[in-house]
Amino acid sequence: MTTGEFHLNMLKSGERVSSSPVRLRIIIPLLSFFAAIGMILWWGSLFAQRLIVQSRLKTLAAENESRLATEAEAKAQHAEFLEQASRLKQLDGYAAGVRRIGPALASLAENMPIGIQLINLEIEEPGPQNLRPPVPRMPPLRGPTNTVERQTLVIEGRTAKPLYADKLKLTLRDSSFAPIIERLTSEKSRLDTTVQPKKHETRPTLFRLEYEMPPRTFAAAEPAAAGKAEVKGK
Amino acid sequence: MKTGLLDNMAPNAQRAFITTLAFTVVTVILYMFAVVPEDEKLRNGNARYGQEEQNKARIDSILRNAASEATRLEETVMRLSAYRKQFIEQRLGNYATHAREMLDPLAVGAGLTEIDYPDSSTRRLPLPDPKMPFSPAKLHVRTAVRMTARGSYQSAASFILRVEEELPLVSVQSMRIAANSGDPLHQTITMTLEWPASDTGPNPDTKARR
Repeated sequence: MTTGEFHLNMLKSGERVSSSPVRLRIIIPLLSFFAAIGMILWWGSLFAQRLIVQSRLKTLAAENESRLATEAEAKAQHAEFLEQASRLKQLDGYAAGVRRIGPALASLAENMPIGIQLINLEIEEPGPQNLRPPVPRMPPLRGPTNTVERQTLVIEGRTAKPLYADKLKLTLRDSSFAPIIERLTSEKSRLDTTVQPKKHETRPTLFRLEYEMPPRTFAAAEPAAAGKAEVKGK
Repeated sequence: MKTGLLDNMAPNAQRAFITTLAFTVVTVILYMFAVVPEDEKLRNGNARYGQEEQNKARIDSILRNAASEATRLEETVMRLSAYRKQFIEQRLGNYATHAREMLDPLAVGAGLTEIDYPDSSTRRLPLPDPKMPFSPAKLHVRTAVRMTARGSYQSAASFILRVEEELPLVSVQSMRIAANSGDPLHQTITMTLEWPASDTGPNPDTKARR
């Protein structure tokens, strides 16, 4: 009796053609195991990083916290500096706007042509200040935004001959009058009817000259201006 | 008869399947409930750390400037103090009294007589920097005191020269030297002299009678 050959094929058809000697039922669970291990390592790495960041954050926050008082002092000092610097700027502006007219007035007395009787010399009051806010329904401004102020100088006199008035105008062109005179804006003259001339005398003429004065500019001056004031104040 | 998925598998394959399934579930759970929240916490921590570093840089910058600013503040206060010494102040509720103290000796020395200080007024000084948002809490004004006197033109000019020499922050705001018909040697002099002063009143544009 011959016995037949028995062969049990346990390989699946997919496994038979695989080039890998390790079977998928081994590889796939291993891969999933490694994935889980990788996930644990990833979490561990993140956790470690967080601990380090938290530790550094705590140190830094404590350091910043400890300097809060110093920072507050520095901020208060900065605010104080801005306040004082702003006030100083305003006063520097005022110092720049101070007008010196004494020498020019003294010079006018010396250079007044003979034959002119000065009746009135007037520096007119400056115009009203504009404190209107740029936007309606807001409170008035605490100061004008315009730093320039213009005024008029009026010279009225009486003269026997109009020639003397012309001579005065010529005299006033001199640079020594520059602090009070910028340009002639109006010139009027008329016969003086209030005085009765003697025989063979001409009736005197009244004249009125209006000059625009150099503008006063209340802009922040050079430090030298305040320095001068400082020397004077000592 | 229905058979389950595992029933058709060999025992080894069943074990492999269950193990794979278990590890996959563990991996997903780890990702969702450990990695993702931890990553979120780390991001937040980094963001807070960045903020604190910015704070530190800001504080460092402030403190670095504080020393030099202290020196500049001291200089500014000194210069302000020099100005303030020349301010006109209210005495007995008016500015004229202080003006009289300062001006009378100069006016008498220049030969002016019948000196009086009938009123005073104030004008605002231009804002330090209208375009800047910062505006000081206290500003200054131009306080003007009107003065009347009698004297010659030369006396008036001499008086102004003395004022400009002795009081460098005083400026002639307006002036009038008018001839007297009855007395050609003595003119009527009206002068408005202005000083800087601290802004004390709520509405400085009103005239104050003495």
